[in-house]
Amino acid sequence: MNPTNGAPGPGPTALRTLGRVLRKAAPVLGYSLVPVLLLVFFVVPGPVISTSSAIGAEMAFAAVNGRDAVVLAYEATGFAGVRGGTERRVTAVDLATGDTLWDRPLPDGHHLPEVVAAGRSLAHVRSGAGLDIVSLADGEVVAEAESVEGLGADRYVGVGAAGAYRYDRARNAIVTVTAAGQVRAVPLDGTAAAPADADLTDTWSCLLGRSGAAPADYDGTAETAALPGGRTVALARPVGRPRGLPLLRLHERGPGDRTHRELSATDFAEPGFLVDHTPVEPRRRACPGRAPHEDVHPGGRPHTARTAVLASGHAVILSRTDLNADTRSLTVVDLATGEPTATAGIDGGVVRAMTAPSGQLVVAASTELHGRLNFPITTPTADVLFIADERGGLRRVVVGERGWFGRIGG
Amino acid sequence: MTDPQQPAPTTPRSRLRSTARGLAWAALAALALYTAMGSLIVGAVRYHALNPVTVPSLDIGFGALDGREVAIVPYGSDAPAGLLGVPAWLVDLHHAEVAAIDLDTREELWRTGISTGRESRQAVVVAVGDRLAYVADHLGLAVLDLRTGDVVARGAGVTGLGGAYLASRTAYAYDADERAVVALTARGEVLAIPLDDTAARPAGESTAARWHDRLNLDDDRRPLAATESEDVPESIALPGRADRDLVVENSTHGSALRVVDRATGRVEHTYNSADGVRNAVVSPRGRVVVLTADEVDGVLLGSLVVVTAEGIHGCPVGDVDFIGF
Repeated sequence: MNPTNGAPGPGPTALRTLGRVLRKAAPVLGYSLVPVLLLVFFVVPGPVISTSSAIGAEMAFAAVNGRDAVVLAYEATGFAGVRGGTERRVTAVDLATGDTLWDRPLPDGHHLPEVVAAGRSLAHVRSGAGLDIVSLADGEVVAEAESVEGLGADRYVGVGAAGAYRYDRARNAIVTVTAAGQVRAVPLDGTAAAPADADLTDTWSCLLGRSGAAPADYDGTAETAALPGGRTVALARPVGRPRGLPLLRLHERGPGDRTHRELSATDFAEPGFLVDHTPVEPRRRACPGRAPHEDVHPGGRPHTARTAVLASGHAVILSRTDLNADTRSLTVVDLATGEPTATAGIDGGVVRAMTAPSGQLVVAASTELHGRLNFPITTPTADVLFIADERGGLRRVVVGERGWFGRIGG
Repeated sequence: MTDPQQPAPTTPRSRLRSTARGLAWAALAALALYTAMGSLIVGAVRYHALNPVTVPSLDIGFGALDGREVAIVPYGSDAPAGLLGVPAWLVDLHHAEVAAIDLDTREELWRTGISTGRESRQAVVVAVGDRLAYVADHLGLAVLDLRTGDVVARGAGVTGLGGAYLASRTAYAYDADERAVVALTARGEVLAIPLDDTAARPAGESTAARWHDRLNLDDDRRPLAATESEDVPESIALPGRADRDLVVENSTHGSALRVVDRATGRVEHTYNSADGVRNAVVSPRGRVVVLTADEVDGVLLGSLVVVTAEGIHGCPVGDVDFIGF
């Protein structure tokens, strides 16, 4: 016979006691949960706050209060507690220190905002609502899209707006088209638009707005990096390694060499060098009489891609973290020795890589950001900025980080 | 605190407590109702989907079990685990399973899930031995027990591969001369797993040389895709019966399969399937196995249609019970 039938052991009694305690404690726990939830969502929402930003691929470099900075616009979509809603903002990041110099909201718009150009005192930001003009000193909006003089109500909005505001480097002007199809220009550092002259009109009329160029595509990496003096560094498969194994190493070739020689024994899985996309100016006055679908850019492409090599001889490799991984890594390598100097993990793709006039390579890439208390619910992907410098370092800058109360920028 | 056994005196405090309890129960009931409704709606929509809910891989395998011929069929499935299973919208429905189908009785002997997730479905049979079946997908190699369907080894769990395994469908192949599954590792070695064995060891020199540059290469073949209709022959001579042809009349809306007497042109057997023919393969014992789709109780399911001179029989793959029992 089962001995526990006759004499109940200590187990059931202990369980009964536990049950009684739980039954007594349950209402207390239940009631205390309400203020905790209220606290979490409305007073100190830190645990549920998440930072998630999409960075516009068009960024600009400028001197902000005497410091070399990248000016970029972004859309913050992370959960902000009771503040809620998507915010569009513009920010300046110090390239030397990674500090945020300022971070200001943009007027209401739609679509991902992008910085078309930055001059000495102003930055010009396009969004679905038009062109906002922002002070470089503090990020304050100097002219909202609908109040830009000479553009205002005529401005181009909605579909195709990303292609309706472009920068003409030769003339230092932002060119745009009105809803009625007239080309207008805002001089760099200016806040007023004027009808464009014949040169600007004939150069840009076929490239703006709905019929204009598709948004630029900044995908792709390169297999080789050209160095001064005719040296080439290439990512190639070591001799004897199976063709199906995408584990490559850095190889180099001197000016007179016909074959590569291995530079370092570090393996990279499915790697490529980050490339710098340089805009190609359209041919002057090529729009009138252009054949349908004929490209007006010399070379047929709106930008050229070249492996980004810093003046110090560093380049950045994008690779899989390992052969079987879904995640990727950015690795700064010294092309003289082939040795990695810094590395950082990312989860998604690279949005854009741009070399700054001050020498750094700025990379916007998407990664998973863990929330403040590492709640699984608060780990959305976000675009993060990486700054590779000439000492071989790689600095990670989170753009639009929300504080404990959901606010961006403190 | 009052004893829960005794009826509580109605004080404002206990009234508040019972109200709170009532609210909690109401919330729980609402959640349960919401879950059930959602399951029903999503399940019903899935159930009447226009595309086949299951799609067999183009690369199926054949083996023998107790003298019967068995088809090993990896397939991608969007089927929910029944309406009373996990609420459909809570989980990623895409998953891949492997089924063993007795080609004599067209009875499913077992089915085994091998992966879940959106990209999980392109699995292929690499080889089938007397005791084990080898399936490769984006997670690497899966070694299945031919009798029970149990996963004997998977991915890094294959002895000898370990952490050097490649999570790639094309890193594994069958070498018929060697009677072994060959595998490329992250170290760049070619290993061989003798058929019906679970351990990988370095392949012989000539085998390694043969496969060195042929494994893990980009492969355009998508095992769950439909083949181009011109790839499926219009007429296939039935193996072992020189006087009988299988004639396929293929369209995207359905297809007609007919066994025809070659001399007289008389149609002996006819079978209409609900979808185009994706592939046709001949089994070692001379059955023509056609991959298409059939409608079962209003659901379009991928199916194997087994054609012999004696008749044509459809066999749906990965059927799901509407209720989920």
